[in-house]
Amino acid sequence: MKGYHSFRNYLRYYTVILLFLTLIIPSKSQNVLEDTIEQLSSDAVIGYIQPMVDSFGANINSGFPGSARIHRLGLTVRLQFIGMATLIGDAEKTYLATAPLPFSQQPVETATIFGDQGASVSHPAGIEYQFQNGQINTRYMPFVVPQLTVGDVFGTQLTLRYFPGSLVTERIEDFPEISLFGVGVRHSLSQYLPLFPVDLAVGGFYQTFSIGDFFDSEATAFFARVSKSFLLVTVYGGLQYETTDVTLSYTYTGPLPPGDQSDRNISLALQGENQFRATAGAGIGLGVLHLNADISVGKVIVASVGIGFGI
Amino acid sequence: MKQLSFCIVIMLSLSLVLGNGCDIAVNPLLFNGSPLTAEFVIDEQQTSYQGTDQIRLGNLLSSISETVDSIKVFNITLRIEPMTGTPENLTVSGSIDVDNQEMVEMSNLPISLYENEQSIFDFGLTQYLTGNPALVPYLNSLLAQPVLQTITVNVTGQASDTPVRLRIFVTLYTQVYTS
Repeated sequence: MKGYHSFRNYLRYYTVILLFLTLIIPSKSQNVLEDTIEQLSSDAVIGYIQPMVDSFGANINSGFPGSARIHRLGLTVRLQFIGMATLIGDAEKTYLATAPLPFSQQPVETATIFGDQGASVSHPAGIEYQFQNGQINTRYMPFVVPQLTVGDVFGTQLTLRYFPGSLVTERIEDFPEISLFGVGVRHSLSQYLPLFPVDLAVGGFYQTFSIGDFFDSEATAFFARVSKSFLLVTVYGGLQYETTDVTLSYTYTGPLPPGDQSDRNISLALQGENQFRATAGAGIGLGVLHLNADISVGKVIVASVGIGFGI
Repeated sequence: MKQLSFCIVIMLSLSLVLGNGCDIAVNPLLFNGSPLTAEFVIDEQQTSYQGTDQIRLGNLLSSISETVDSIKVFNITLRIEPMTGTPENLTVSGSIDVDNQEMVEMSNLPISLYENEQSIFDFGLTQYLTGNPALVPYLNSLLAQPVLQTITVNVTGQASDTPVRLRIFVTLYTQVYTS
């Protein structure tokens, strides 16, 4: 009994640390984001936050199982941990914004959340307005998810992504409730083409991810994969269509334009701009250990690495 | 158990490696200070009017918990709301002062132009309104003091008709630079 409890505590301890570290980027980002965008009107926030939505969407739609080799009937049970990183270039660091009246309504280039100092505009009356400063300095935006794949039935595999968010919020004060759920299927086309020289599969994935009441998202992807295995190594590639819808809900605390009596409770719908991507990667299977890495090129560039255990 | 530990160590390493290059909160946040409004209720049967109100500058920080580096004024607005009985085409002349420093001078200003909140720095309306260029530096100097003071705002002048039944709002907008 004692052994059972110590194992359970051990597991809980590591699970909390694991989830904390895995989620620290989005949660820390949430605090910064909330403080930052509460000062921004819905018009101003879109350009400021869009690169983050794009990188989030590109990340969450990455890391699906790479190999297209799925048996008609067999056993696959594989737990993977996927790390993704969207590259942040100069284009993601600035956007065009317009200062509030009475300042000039000519757009000026200023920092996004990934940028540096916000631009300043001045008025002949001696007043000055500065746009919000960038808050995240990075060359890539990371994300990590656990992923479980099971199959194979009729040449089909089921893949799940899940975070038990309450495990963290129950143990760490002020940590926003984070939840992730994703489900996807892949179906082998190769089973219908016995002599085809490479493996082919198609699939789809649906995910929801939220951080507190502030950030709510849905992501959908449809993809086609081709792969070829050589002993321990599998090389793979594919094409993917994807969508990401993010809803930011916040209370605007900044000043409203003169005469504007708008509701300060803002619910802002944003779409990730990455819709198509081409992916190329490779994986290696060493018994129960599976490693893979790939790169995807679309509107943004995403790299992902996976460490998996199972058969 | 060993497999589980190994698995967790791998995952932790992955998280740490990926999170390592991502610096968050690298620049100070800018906040908009809570708008500060002086409100005057004028109810006169004669054409002359006068009102006084006080603004506690410290209230602009009411929703800000970060350490403040500096505060600057970026807009001052005026809104004139006519109350029942006020002639529709009423115009007002006079001035609005802050701590006896003239903020703005009004010259036959149609109150209908300011029924909605308008910036006093809107240069499209200069035939009716003239701002004092020294006021913004004066207010910024007050906002630079370690303890934010209370300022007194006065409105005084003549209207074109009677009765003069108005609510006048002068609002100060600020940006707060945190450190």
